[in-house]
Amino acid sequence: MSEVLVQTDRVSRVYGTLIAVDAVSCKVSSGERIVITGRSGSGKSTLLHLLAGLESPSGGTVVWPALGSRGELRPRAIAMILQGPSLLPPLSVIENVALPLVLGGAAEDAARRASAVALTTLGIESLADKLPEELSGGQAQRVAVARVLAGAPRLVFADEPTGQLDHPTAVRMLEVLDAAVAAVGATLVLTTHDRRIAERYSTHWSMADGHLFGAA
Amino acid sequence: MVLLLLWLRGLVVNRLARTLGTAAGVAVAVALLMSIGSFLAASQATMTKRAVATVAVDWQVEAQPGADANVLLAGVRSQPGVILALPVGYANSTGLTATTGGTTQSTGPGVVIGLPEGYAAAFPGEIRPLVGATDGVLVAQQTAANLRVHPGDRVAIGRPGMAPAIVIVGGIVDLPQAGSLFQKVGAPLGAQPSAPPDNVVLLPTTQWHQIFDPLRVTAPGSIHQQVHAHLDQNLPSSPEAAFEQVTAGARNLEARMAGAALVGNNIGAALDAARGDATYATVLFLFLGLPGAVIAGLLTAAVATAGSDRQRRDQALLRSRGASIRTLVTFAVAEAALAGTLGAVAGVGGALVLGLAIFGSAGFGADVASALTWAAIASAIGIGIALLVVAVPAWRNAKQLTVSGARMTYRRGGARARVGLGLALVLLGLAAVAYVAATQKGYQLVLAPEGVPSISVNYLVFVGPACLWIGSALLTWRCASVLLQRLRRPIAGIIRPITGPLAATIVASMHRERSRIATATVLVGLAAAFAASTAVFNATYSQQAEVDARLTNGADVTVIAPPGTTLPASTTAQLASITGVHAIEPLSHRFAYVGADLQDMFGVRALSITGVGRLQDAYFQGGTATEIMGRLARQRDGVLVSAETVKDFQLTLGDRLTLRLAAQNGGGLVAVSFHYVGIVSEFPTAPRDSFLIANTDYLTAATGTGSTNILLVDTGDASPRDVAAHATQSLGSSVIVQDIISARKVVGSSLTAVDLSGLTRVELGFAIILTIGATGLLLLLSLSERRRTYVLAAALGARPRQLRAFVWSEAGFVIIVGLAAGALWGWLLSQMLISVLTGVFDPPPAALAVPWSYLGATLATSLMAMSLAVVGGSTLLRRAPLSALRDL
Repeated sequence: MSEVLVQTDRVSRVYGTLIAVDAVSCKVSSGERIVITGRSGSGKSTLLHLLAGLESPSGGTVVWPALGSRGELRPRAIAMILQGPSLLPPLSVIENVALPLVLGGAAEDAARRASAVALTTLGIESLADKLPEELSGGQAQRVAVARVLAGAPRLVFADEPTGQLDHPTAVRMLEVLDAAVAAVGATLVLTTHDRRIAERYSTHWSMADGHLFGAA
Repeated sequence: MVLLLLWLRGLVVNRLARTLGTAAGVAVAVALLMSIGSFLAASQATMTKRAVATVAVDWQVEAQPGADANVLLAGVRSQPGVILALPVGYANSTGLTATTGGTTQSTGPGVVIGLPEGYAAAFPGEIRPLVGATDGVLVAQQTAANLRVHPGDRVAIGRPGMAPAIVIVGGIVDLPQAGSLFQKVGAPLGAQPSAPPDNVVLLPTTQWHQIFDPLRVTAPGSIHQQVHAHLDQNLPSSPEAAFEQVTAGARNLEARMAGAALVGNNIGAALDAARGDATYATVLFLFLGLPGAVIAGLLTAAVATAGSDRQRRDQALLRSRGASIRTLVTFAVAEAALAGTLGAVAGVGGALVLGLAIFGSAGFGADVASALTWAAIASAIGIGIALLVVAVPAWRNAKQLTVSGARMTYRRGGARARVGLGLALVLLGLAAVAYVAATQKGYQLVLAPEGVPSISVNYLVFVGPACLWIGSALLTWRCASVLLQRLRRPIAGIIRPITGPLAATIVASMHRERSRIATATVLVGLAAAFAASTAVFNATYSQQAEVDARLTNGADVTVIAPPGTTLPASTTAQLASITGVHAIEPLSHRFAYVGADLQDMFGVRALSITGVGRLQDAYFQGGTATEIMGRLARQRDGVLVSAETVKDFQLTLGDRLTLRLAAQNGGGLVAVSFHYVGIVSEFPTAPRDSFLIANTDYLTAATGTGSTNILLVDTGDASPRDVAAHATQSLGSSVIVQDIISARKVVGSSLTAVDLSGLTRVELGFAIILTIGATGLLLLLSLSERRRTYVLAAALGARPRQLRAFVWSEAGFVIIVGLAAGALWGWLLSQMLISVLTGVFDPPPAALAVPWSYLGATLATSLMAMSLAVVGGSTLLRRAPLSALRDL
């Protein structure tokens, strides 16, 4: 039986005079694979940040019925893959992967072991000691996926995870992401402006000028 | 041009923190240089003015045998720079005689001077009227005492081969500058100054000619003529330049007079002494001011470097869009010029405010031209610093730039860590060698040979402090880097109680950031070392100035009997009744012959004088003050002598020494045996050359006289000036009462008289500013530059306390290691500075004076700056939206 992980009620986010998200109501239930499409500046990233509890709404409400209060969401319940490089520059790959676990209170050794397993699962264990500045864009996003895998969250938000990759690489990256999300039994919400990417997923929402379309 | 303006606008809008940070660093350097430079110029001008003000007669031009006095006078008057010249006659008298009160007193040979009308007004410092008329026949005070004459009495002036001339005394005067007035003009360099005559009479010119003109035929060698000249006081402000000007003028006059005249260059002699002090002041400026400016420059570099990663990325983007290296360098130069100009304007403004606040003058007391010159010099250096730290690295990067290379930050840091250890050790070794050389006998930093125009400065001594500064910076960098590289586990263990499981991650991050962290650590260390060394040097300088004043005055208040007299026993009781008198110590002063040398001898109470006279260990050799004076107390016939006496007479401890002592009442000499028990080099009220210290009781028993003629008064917490005023009131004018506060103003060189406290306040203020900059500003900028790391960590779920753990760990490392290094280097630099600048200390310090309160305040300020930076920085980072990542 699916449970509601996050639900919004007429949520808005305003930056100065710019209304990035305008009275959006939606809900995400466990097991879903949702893709949000829209042009650049349509409000996709902001909505994702609101859903992930990274930003406070200017109006309306966001709740996480099955996950707890906003302060309890990260690093355990929700994981985030950001647009562009999302690895901490001064930490090695394995340290980056282990970081959410350590932030969640895991012992250093245990976090490191789990991270090593995640890297091996994705076939990138050879990158463990490299620094983010030494990785290609595709490698960096794979490491970000490994971080998701190691943390075993219930809800994963991926903000334009393939935005800086060519199409073949992007497809491979998404295969890895889907597999990882499935492996940990997580729910996935992903944004993209690439229609070909969006076609991979069954549930489609779209955004334009801060308004969300297609959400039940 | 449009593109350049767009770039500059972008800098102001998007890189404001870095631009302002760089400008702030430049401003500190400019303000420091301008403040100290203007202070130096003002100090040197003061030295010149003070030196000139001490001279009553600038030139004493003596006519050579056969020269026409009138031609000489005309020649001097026509010499450029001379604004007044008067003829003065000198005649040797065979003796003076006066009959007063029924007795006749006669003196030995004397000198009679003929002064023209208006001489006293023209040269006001030469004659000080005491009693009676201010013109007519004037008798010097000592002469009047010898002859027991008063105004109206007759004095017979003996003339060689002629009958004495009778004159009637009009007044009694003091001759404050008798030394120069009776100098032997044209004496060879290095010759001992001749003592002024005991007996002097001043006559009006007409009367002098009437009495002595006949001697031109009978005894021409007994009279000579001088022209006393007053020069235009509009001299260069630097003592060196002023000395050169007046010396050249004197030589020019001698050349013009073609051997008919020799110039006694009194003003040149005064400036000669001042120029050595001025050179010391310049050296002090270099030693104490330059490191501060260099640290400010390094701080600026660090601030500019804090944005270098982003600058590289910006440059890479520009390159990928077709910008040439020239364009990139132009942008960087424009950025440097913007930051440099802003910094220069702020720095000059800051210095002006500082000058007004501390010295009551925007130019620190320097004239407008000097202040403007220093403002220009400091601004040029400030803009130079900006170009050096912004434009040069940008030019270097632009030449080597690739897009992938621009992303590399951490791998490069690892390579840099390997540099420096060998160089640091070599430099520290050189510093040690220089330190040893500076502590050797015969070392002299500034050599200003009397009368020689050039001053030689031993520039090799700059090697020591320079090597120590650079070596310490490199070694600190290396040590901090190695600590973060090799001791990750122990550091993680130390911070784990605060950071929890994050310890290893934080240390790993610090390890990768070690280049940046080590640089910050070095800057904290250098700023702390600058604050510590400057503060210790200045405190030690003040301490020794106090010791100097105390040595000269003897105690807080000193009561002295007039020469040849003793203090009545009631004096002590009278003094003791004055409020504020804490303790009184009697001294018995007389003279003694050591072989053929006449030396001052002081009879003391060996145990009690140690406290009242505040005897320092540095006054003695071979033991502490307590040990040596205890030895004297135990050996009743013991005597302390100077090291020179020990050397001259090949003495060893316990040797018997027979001295011939003069009785205090002026009676004959008595041979007295002593045992040599120790070496004394300084003693309250004692002269700078050789003297003797013995037990008063023994002296009294051995000579039959031993009355007190000096009383040292310890006023405890009471004001010496107040106690001295009360003592003068109580004891009357029959004794001389001196207080240490007045002594402080007259002792020492013109360098000490300039008062280092102004420089001290400027430097100590800047030391704190640099420390704040090195801790707070640098940390804040460093946090700002690494917002990406912290924003990402927050997005991954880092709690505020976990983010603070990252920041506190790094800040804690920087501050602890930096301050520890600063304390060590500061201590070593203090030792080094005091060794190489030993010439400014008189007497040399036995121990460093450590101003704990200032150092405590500096520590507290730096901790506060760091805390504010950490708390403020963490708060800003926590509030940064994730969208900020797009800008990072």
